[in-house]
Amino acid sequence: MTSLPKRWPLKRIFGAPAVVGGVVIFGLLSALLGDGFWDVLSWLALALPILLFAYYALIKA
Amino acid sequence: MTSKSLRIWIRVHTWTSLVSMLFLLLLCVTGLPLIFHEDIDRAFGQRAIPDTSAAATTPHLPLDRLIEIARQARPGETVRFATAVRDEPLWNMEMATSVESRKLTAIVTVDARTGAVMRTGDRIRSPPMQFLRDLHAELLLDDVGMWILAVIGLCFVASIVSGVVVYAPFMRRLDFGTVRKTSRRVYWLDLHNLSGILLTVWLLAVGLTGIINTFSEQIANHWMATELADMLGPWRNAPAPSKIISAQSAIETALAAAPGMTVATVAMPGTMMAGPHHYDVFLSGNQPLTSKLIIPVLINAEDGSITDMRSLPWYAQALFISKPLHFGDYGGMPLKILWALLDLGAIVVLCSGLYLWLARLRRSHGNAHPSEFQLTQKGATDDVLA
Repeated sequence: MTSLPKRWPLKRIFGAPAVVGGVVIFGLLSALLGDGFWDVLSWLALALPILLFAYYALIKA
Repeated sequence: MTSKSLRIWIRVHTWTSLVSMLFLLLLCVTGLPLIFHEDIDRAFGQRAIPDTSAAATTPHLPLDRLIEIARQARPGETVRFATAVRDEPLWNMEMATSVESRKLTAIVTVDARTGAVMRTGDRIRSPPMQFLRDLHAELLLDDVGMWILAVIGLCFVASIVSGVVVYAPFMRRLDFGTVRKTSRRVYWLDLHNLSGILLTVWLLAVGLTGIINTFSEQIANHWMATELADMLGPWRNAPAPSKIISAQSAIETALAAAPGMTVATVAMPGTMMAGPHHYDVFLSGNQPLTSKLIIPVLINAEDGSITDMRSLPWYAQALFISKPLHFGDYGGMPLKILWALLDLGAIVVLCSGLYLWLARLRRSHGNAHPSEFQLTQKGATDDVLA
């Protein structure tokens, strides 16, 4: 059985996705637990994955 | 991770995705207009709006008068449930031929200040929106469709988890956000990886809450058979009292016992949610989170006393919390628009994944393009999945 490299650069691979995931979790909960200001934070947080996709797929590519 | 386990993960990702693909596309496409169902119905005049002839400060009529008005609007029928529309002076009266009946005949919306009937319809939603909702939630197949969707939901979760696992080897040598245009297949592979990993948390949230919503009827039935039966205790099978107190005094008693809460729904005596001897007044809180939850207060319909009042069990609370997290209707119009964009993003994930599978099928019929994995790993572990 071939073994893939033992040491995966997991931090590099999942670093950015983990940060985005954390921001999205925050966004999902902030509008649920608060109103007004917290709704605005939720909009900003949930816009992040959309903006990143638009940037990498449409602008940078 | 060994090459064998990687191969298994890729296979899990491919097949769980393929099994659920068409259903997920259907859910994304029907879900898109459903995010805005209230706004669309309102725009087409299909949703009840408050009576404009009354001032906002006009006091509300007693609930019993509103029930009477709904009954006059639908002769021969009775009100099973009266539901207060949140933040609007409107009540939705669910009508049936008898209180025991489980079949809804109509919903009559009455303005609480003037008593004017603002709308009568089969459901709260307009027929086209109701159709989309039935397609989305039950595939138009009632219980069977619900179970199919629950299985699809589990496949979806397995596909997301395995997708995250196989993301690692694909991205081993690439920077986050890389979108290469070296070939069409590489381009779509990179788009699939990027959109998939960016949307992982949202997809999981909407997928898991969708599964919970699928079981809403089972959850309600279980609550009635266990918790409600326990709350009613000896009253469960008691005969209906000959004379019952007014619905208005029932909600006033309930509200007095729970300061700061508002009435969400009143189940009339005789309905399965209340039993023959009680009103069941469901209250909701006034905080962002507690406004999504309800607390049942059982009011003895003969003497007006409180029989029991207790929070919902964890599984029912999970259902009520999962509704906003699935619908995206808890943070104003901007959140709905973001929900729609994320839904479109999910369609990108699905279509790019489908494209990669089809491109691979074509490849296996003859010419030997390298697999997606090899495209990524070129030179390093070429032999791994050869």
